[in-house]
Amino acid sequence: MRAEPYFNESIHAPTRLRLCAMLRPLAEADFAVIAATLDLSEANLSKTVRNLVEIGYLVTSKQASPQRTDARQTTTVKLTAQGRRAFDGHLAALRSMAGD
Amino acid sequence: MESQLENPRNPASVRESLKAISTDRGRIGERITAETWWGAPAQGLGAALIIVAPAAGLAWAWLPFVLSMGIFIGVEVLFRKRSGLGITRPAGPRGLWLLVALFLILFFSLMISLALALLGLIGWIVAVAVAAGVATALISMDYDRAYAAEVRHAG
Repeated sequence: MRAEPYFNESIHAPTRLRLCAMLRPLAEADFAVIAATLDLSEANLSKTVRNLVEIGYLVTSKQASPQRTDARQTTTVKLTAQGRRAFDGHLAALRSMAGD
Repeated sequence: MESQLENPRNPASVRESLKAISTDRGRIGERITAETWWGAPAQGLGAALIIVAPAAGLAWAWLPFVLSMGIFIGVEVLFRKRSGLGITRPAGPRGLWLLVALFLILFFSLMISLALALLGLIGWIVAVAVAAGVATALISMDYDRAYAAEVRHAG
């Protein structure tokens, strides 16, 4: 079902939009892989993730990872149902504005 | 003065945003197809083991079946760890159709294999299993390529 076009100011900022767009077709993604794929610093991505978690568009979870030599955990990020709806509406609005 | 590109609703700015999304999604596709070289043959082997199971007889059919399940689960876990991405559904219609085709091939291959086992034609079961395994590996490779192409324009 096609989403209703709705220009969403809270996810249009480039980093937020690219993050939501990357996560939309996935069930989840590791924080480090997102940073590498979007070519973002960990600090920048961390701030963006925190902001989107605060407005209910993302959730994060942490797991111990045998791949890490330190005590830190691997962070996994995924879109919430609310985040998916917001992104779908925003993408529909962008496509409509671009004449796609 | 604010440039046209700084206005987020400007068509040129919107097209830039869509282009950035497509480029990032292209990187997801590259990450996935990079794992095809080992994932597809392993899944082909897993499929062949299921199809060949009736040839092992009633007492031993569970063994290739369990091995096959181990391979499929192992591929899934290893792919998730290596790629850092969790994927649970196809990105578009081509991927969906490839999954349907794969299911039908495996289903009918297993039915043929069971019929051949009843007739005692063990050599033919192996041939059907090899064919199904090769088909699974090829479809799996094509699925990853289709995913890489379709994820660029997915919702």
